Amino acid sequence: MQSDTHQRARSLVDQGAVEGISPEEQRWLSRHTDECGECAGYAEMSQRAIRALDSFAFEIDPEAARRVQDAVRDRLIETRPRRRNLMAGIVAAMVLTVAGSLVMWALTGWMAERWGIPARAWQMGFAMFWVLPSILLDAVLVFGQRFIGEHLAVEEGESL
Amino acid sequence: MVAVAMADETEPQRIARALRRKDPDFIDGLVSQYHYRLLRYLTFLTSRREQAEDLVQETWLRVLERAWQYNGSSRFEPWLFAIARNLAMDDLRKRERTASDTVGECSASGDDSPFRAAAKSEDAMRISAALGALEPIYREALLLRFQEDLSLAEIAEVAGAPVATVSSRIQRGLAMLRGGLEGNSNAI
Repeated sequence: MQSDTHQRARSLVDQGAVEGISPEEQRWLSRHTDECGECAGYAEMSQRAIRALDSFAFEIDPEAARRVQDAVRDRLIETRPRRRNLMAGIVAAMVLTVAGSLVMWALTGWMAERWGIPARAWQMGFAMFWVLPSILLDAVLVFGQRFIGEHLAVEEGESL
Repeated sequence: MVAVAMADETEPQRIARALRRKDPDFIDGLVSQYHYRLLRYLTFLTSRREQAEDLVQETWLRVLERAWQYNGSSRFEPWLFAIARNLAMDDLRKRERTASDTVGECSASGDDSPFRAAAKSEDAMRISAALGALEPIYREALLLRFQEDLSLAEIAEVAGAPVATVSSRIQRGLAMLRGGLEGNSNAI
């Protein structure tokens, strides 16, 4: 037989083991290995190697999984307060921002009236120097929550 | 596992939901369910049994951190093994920098090999030395294909390599194992 025929047979054996071959290719291979002892031996060795992989059994300490479960539960307990505190901090910051803004608005309005500053002027100044920075800060806190959460997760990972 | 299944929810979706909710009972079940397979995978990758046991725990802690990344659109195993792999490779690289052993060699030869200890048949004993001599990437490919029954695409996802590369690794690994069976140290 041509050497490329044997080469094709071995290639099909390898391919069949890894990703499968078409029924037509399987039929061709079967006919070939019926006639070629060497290629039949090659196929048999491949199958034996694959079956041998199934014959490895690693002994497991019965308590090993339990230890991992305990470590996982400990980590869950550790991280819950931090996340709750983070959420509480964000909510508190937003509430204080709104409440503080209302107080400052009233105070600024009162002072502006005493000093004769036109309403439009002090209101625009208030918007630029008080409200906008507060809104930006809240946006960072809200949309940055996930980033901060991931950062905490990275810190936890680094502390392993 | 306590998590209540929602209608028409696949298993991967159920896992993703439970991980995001950090359901402790469900995660306990996952740890139990995958413990042996994860340990086997990490042992194949590192060829060091003790290190593999440490890495199993680190893997689950990393799963907790990265729970938000798994959305249940694909099977859980490739995602889990990919996390384990990254940890193992980081550990191997650290050892390369500090130890005199080269990557891929068994931490101890002969009788201390975790593969020799785990071999339960004559053929398994014969290929245990060949397994120990293989580089981790070939052992990994063999395990994921023939014992975990992952598809080539899933193995490629775990290994971060193209499908053609994965196929080549499996074939090369098999060639080495054939050599081990034939008692030939220079495999085809």
